[in-house]
Amino acid sequence: MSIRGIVSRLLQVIITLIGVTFITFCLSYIAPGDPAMTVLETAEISVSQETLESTRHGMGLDRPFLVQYGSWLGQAVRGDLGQSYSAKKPVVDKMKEAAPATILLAFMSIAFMLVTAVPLGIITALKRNHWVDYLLRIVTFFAVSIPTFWTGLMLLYFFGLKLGWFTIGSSKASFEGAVLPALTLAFFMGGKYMRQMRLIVLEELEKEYVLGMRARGLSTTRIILHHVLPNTILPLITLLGMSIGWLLGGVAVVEIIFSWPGLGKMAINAIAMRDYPLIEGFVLWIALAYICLNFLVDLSYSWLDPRLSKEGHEK
Amino acid sequence: MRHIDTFGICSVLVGLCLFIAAISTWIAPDGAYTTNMAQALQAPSWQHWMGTDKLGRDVMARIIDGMRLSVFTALLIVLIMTTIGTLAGALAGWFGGWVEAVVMRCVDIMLAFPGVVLAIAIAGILGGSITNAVLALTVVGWAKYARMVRSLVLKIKHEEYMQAVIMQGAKTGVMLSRHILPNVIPLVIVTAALDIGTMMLEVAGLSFLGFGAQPPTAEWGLMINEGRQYLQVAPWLLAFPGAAVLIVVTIFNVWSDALRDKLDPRES
Repeated sequence: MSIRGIVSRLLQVIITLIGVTFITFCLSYIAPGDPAMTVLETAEISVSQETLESTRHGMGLDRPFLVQYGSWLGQAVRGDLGQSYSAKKPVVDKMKEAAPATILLAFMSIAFMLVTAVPLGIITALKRNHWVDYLLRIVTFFAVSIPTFWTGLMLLYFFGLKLGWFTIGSSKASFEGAVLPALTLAFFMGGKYMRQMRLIVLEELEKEYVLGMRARGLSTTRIILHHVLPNTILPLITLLGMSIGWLLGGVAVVEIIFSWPGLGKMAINAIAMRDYPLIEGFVLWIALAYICLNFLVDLSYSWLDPRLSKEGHEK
Repeated sequence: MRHIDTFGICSVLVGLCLFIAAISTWIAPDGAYTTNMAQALQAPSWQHWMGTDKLGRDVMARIIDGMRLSVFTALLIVLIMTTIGTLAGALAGWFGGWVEAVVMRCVDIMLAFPGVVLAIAIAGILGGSITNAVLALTVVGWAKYARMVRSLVLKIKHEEYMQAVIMQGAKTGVMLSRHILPNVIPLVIVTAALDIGTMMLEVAGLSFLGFGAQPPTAEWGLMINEGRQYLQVAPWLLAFPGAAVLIVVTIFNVWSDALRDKLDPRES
């Protein structure tokens, strides 16, 4: 990547970050409800006009809108995201508490998905128009059409309540507790990945190099594992980048069903409590995570396939 | 599935969904909104095919009634966001300059972000209601269309026939509506069709979280959330609304997939 490219890219990142946080700030400003009021109510202090005014002043809510945003931005650049209204601790600490649970869930679900969807996608491509292909394609259609919260609740019902394989309702993050939520997410993502894998592999199988290898008598297994699979990695990485970004936001619906103490649940609680600094911090984290992932995906492209970066230079 | 006319079958099913949704008010059995505590939490029976909920309302009546909200809300969202996205993208691609810069920066911001999260934030902060859910999903969804339409318009603009039209001195409005949009709209429709099912899921998800439809509305996501605490004693409160979402969304997804194959046979 040239210097010019890097600079324009950085500029774009900065504009995006400012844009996203500004939108959230605007929303919290025009939203009904008064955070100062919520703080007083949760602390069970009787609310007189005077205490309300002084609380608002203490929280900096009486300043003009742009001044509020400016000072938040100034602090954020220095790594200080302010105090959470509801938890009375720094937003950064609160997010550090919730992040490991979300990260664990994200990677576990990705792992579950990859070990099932990728082989199944290859099988459907190899068995094209065989009944196995039809069956698995029907499964993929269902997988992308089921609401995640419903899959989650059904898994809870069968494996938690009926079979009793998993303890439910513990609000601590653990490997055992991550299995059902990870399966829920893996099932939803798996549908999309199986379809994509099938398409990519079908496309590869039609290329001449595969025909050449077949003619030379190489086994299908060898062709798939050594020659077709490496070619599916690039498109797979793009998809994975998007999925991980989505998962790192903490998939709120799933986290709530399984009372999983991650970022998504934290964000939903923050919205309910009108805890704006926490919401703002959460939004910033997701935007950053997403941008970093996209950047890594681009980097991995030119690393895995050096031709791509050369073509970029010629442009 | 080549020998079966998937598209034809699915079109009939989609039509059926729309028809049921349109006349749901008249065909739903009584009891979608009438509470009857004596009949609360009854298991499925001949009288109540899908059981009753905690307030004794008939689950089947509520599911049929909820069809209207799910189907038409999703269609409305898709319609609004494709219209806004197409217009914004067409203007950006056609005029270039600062119009393009502004539109595309907005698009970048929207796409640099998992849409669901932003939709939850918007709907949640503005307060839960079906209107805010529609607003949130539209705000998030238009960007994809703007990007797609812009690149198409840029391509068309440089085609020879378009240069000829420009040289003839046609008016901007005529050029956009007669020559550009007809070339863009098929692809927009294919993409929009794929989004109908997605939007149904998103609306149900927002309602499930409490940021969409509010009680006592009969909405599938909300019904699942209300039934959640009765998972152990009344699983039918979850099973049937969930199955309803699954069936209707699958119909729309398979239909849109078949539509794409029909209009754009390159991919399959």
